[in-house]
Amino acid sequence: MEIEFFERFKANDHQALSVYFDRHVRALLLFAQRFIANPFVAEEVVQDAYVKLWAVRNRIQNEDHLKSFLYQTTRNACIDYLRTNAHRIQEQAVELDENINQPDTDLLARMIHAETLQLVYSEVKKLPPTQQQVFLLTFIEGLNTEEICTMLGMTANAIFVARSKALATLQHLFKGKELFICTALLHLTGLWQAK
Amino acid sequence: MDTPNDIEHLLLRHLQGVATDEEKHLVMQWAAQAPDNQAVLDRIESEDLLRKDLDLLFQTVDGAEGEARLVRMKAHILQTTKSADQGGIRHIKRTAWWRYVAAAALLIIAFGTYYYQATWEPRQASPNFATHVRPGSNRATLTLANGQTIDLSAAHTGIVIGADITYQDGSEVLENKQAMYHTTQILDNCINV
Repeated sequence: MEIEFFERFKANDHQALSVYFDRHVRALLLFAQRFIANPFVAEEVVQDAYVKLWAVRNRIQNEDHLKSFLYQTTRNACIDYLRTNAHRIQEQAVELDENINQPDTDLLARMIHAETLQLVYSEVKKLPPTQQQVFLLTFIEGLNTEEICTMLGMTANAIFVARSKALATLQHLFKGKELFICTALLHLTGLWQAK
Repeated sequence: MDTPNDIEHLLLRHLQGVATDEEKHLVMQWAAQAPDNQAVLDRIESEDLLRKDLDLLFQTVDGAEGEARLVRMKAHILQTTKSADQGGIRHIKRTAWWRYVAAAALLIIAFGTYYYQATWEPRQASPNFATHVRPGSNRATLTLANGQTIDLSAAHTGIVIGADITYQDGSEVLENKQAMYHTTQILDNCINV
């Protein structure tokens, strides 16, 4: 399967290029945005990396090589952008703790970080829409149950269920912290089954 | 079903709280390999940073705006790469076009050379020049209408055409009187005086 796509890619199949786009683009955008806060610049940088990948496809040896080419090219373009626009983007929220001139171990680590985040994203996207929404409101927006209830017009019980299921996506982080949700969930499930 | 064993999937399972002891060990081992790896693990395990990164990711690629961005990017990439490929074909066509021009130029040069040589060589082959050119003198030839030519005398100057043809001093040009019948024609046709 993997090899088949790669062979099609090498055989000038644009469909295969579009498969690699779908596979890495989200992580690449996140990766680029850790250098460049502007999402439109990040967008351009990443799409340029794909265009360049196509131009050198004859020299790409395997899928790992393909992936690291995309990240390497994106990073180089980000650094170039930061250097040429240093005066203009001073005020932008590029993370201060990050040194952009680190060696390749940093590139690899950043790539792993971005790809892991993309995996988390795809786990969230596997949830039903309501649970996705509750996850975003709870975890990212930091809203409490009452606020979410008001927002989504759901009952508190339904929110508890949706939220606990959604947060199970990142169970490790919520161990202990969100025990009350689990308790509530058990309680609700019990009630549900009792009905 | 095989679970993917790359570090990204191990980190995901670690985050999900479903990693086996062996997988946890692999994650720790990986983190110990390099400070950058440890930094990634720390960043993912930090609720604040994970929230920040996930927020950024959702803002960029999720929802109507995020999906529109991905569609736009893909369209741009496919369009650019496809037109780059066609550009490659155009390049080949251009090479072919130059070949035609080169062939046409060769033909023109070949025919030009042939024509030049065909027309130039005979001229070179017939140089009928007199070997001894004498200095010019007071000599002329009178050609009559019947084709008869008369060498005019070098001792006289000018001719007068009346009933007879005489020199200016009155002496006769024609010793043979028979030619006099043609005098009228001579008036019209005398050329090389």
